[in-house]
Amino acid sequence: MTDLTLLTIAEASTLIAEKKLSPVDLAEACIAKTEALDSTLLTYVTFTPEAALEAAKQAEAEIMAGNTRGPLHGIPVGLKDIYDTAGLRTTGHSRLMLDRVPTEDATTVTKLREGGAVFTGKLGTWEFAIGGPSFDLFHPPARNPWNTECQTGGSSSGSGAAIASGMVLGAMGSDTGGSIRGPAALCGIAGIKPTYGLLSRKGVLPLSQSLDHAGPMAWTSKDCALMMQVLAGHDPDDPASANVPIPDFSALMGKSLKGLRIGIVRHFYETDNVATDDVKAAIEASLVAFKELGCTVKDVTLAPLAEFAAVNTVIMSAEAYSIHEPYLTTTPELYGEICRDRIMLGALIRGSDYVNAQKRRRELSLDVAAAMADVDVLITAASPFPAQKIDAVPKWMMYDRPSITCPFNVTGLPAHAVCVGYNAGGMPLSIQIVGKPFQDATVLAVGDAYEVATAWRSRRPAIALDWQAKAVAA
Amino acid sequence: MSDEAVSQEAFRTLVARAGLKLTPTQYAELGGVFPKLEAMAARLRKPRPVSAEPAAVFSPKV
Repeated sequence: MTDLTLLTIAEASTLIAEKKLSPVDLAEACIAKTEALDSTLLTYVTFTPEAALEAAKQAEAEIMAGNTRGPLHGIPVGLKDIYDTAGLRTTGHSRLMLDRVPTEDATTVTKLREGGAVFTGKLGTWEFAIGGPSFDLFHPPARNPWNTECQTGGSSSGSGAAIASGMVLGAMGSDTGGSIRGPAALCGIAGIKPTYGLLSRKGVLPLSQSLDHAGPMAWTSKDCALMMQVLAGHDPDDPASANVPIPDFSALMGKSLKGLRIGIVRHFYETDNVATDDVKAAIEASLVAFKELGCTVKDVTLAPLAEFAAVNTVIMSAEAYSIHEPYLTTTPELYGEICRDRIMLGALIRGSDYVNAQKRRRELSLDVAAAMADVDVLITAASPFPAQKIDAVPKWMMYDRPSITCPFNVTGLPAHAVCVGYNAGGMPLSIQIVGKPFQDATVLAVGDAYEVATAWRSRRPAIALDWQAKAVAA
Repeated sequence: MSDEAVSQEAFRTLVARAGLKLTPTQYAELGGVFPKLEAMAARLRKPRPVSAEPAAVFSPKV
């Protein structure tokens, strides 16, 4: 029996366009899989199968009538529960907003809707994209499909797990210090934090406006590119939105990487935040693959990771507290402990220190631009370790180990997480591919070339493969 | 005063100024983490020309 849930967006989109795949059948398969698995994986905060089926039927009718909307038409997509959806609650995975029902869609949700995406519901997140994994919220944290005793990474936790398990073919995440790339890395999928300003943040619950990025997550780089094509564009309602031409994000895919210059940032994961041996070995193996594809590789040294982490933490903490102060001072009991305490620390940051962080951010951006002058992309680890046990994630890890993803929130550069193998325990290992400003198509093409040249995308978690037998047995 | 004592004095002052109402457990825990946040902030304090611009309107093309 063909398992439709294991199709990529590109595969499903082609079949739908050729009228060989019914969007209704695809939606029904994803719904059935969710009903079979989500009591274990806990990805959805709000699951909306009826609305998904209605949207799939509409998509099918439009396509059969010859009115196609593009590559996401009829594709099941989940939304991190910080994306506003008109008429459907958006909670931030917090009791504080348990009954909050927006009247408007986020701009990116509107774009996906107009592109014909079939929304399946709202996916779990670390509370307000910072507090997790937490067990004192109204819904428990998502579990990693590769090992359900392990965490997914955060904060786009439900998105990572739902894609890896095949409950949806694509999902939206958000990324302030690594919240797309972390779950993408630990769940073995692809996820891009686009260049700052490329995707609208309007209608996305903020954590730290000057660091927040919206972005897509999917099984492959190609699928991320297809989502980017629908999502990108200037939004006058987002003050940070960049008014730049939107490229064809798939245009470079399928072309040779011969001559591509890669800068490997080893000190991030060899000395600044020491990675496990399996992560380091997977990165080295990926570099061999890139060389075989015709790339050159040279070492690049950036400022110590701790410099970027200091900037990211000071800015994020201060901005997050400014957003949450009215609620933390009146109804702190509505927050989970981790979110509450992490954000409360932001109250203690002095104004001059916040401005110093913004000054240092500018300096670091210039430094990184100079360091990238004679390379096309940077590569470094996406996570220094594979997913750990869900009850063993330190509450204050961000203060003890500088984040390996945050440098590219600080600099705003496009950064893409790509799976480069699995450890002996079967857990995914990943790299980041980082580009120059607005060179998002390049990092996606590099990721795609790697995925096509290697076999890793053919491996799915066991839970994603044997669900039909379990569903029948139940 | 030792650095630790200075840090805890700063913590008490900043908590009071912010008007935070912390439980004893929170007070102890956040007080323990605060020196790490303070170290991050301290890392960013360095002499800069008066013309040094913050990335107040941030652009990745800076």
